[in-house]
Amino acid sequence: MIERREPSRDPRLGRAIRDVEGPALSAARLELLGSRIAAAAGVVLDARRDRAWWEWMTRWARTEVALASAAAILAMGIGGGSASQRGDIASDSAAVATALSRQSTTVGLDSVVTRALAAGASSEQVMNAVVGQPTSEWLLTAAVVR
Amino acid sequence: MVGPSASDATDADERDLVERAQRGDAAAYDMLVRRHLGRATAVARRLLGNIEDAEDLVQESFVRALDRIATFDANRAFAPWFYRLLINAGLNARKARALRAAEPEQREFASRGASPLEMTERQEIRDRFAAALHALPPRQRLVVAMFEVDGLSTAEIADALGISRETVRWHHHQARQSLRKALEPLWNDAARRAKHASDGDREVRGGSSL
Repeated sequence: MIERREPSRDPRLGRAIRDVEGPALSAARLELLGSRIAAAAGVVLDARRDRAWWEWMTRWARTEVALASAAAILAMGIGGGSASQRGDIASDSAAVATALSRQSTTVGLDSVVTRALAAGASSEQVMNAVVGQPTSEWLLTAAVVR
Repeated sequence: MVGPSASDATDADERDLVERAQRGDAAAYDMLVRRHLGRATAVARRLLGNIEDAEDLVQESFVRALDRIATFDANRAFAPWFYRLLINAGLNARKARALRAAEPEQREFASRGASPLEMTERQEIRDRFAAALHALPPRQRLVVAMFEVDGLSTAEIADALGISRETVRWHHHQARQSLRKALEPLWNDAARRAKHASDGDREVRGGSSL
């Protein structure tokens, strides 16, 4: 490809333009402007840090709730105690599940969770249902099939 | 073997600053800002016509650039990307904002040894030149000033304005034609005076040799 030559510079024209434009900003004025920009940039970076923290929190909140629910379910399953105690724990988990998943159902959720686990649903599936997976149809299906 | 040039080192340094700024390093971004501040202010002033508006534009553009820096490819040069942002914002500002009345700054031009009549004539020519410069379309004025005053190459200007090198050359050619026409009388005057001075010297030398 043929590269066209760069036009030559015209120093007289450059001087004339500079003359009309006036002198460059003084070092002091540039320093002041630099400080203004640094302050504004600091605000942007702080806001970004806050936003990042909040996004991180939001991202992990769901996982944290899931872990808490899992702990409750595990306690129910292997924590020992009488059948009535297990029933209480299951009942608590169900209450959380009810609130989070907003599932209104005539079937008691304590027994739904227990049944789902007994039916072979994985703990991840149960957690997803407890903390509000967009569709928790599988849980009801599992319960109904059972 | 050719070693790494100073320009390569500067590029690597700038890439490092950009990457650090992308990670939220305020000091790195400050260094990046100060590296481009002088030229950015000159470009903004050219676009907007007064220092106060130019400073506001430069500040806004650097903040906007920081806001978008996460999407910037650090392997590319920062300057063209930033200048494009600055120039677009400046052109929009010209259209949208009522600029503070830009009083043309009256400057004293070098007039050593000139008679009052000559000074008046030169002032007139300079006013005519200033009018010709301001009458150029904004992009054309930017192109000619960035090339002739800032010393940027046509490729750098093309990158900064987001146009082709051919278009830059065309704008430069057009602007130069208009400005040269306005400056011609001044240059002719200077050439005439230089010729007079050299003729005078010759006469003096001729006379002394007799």
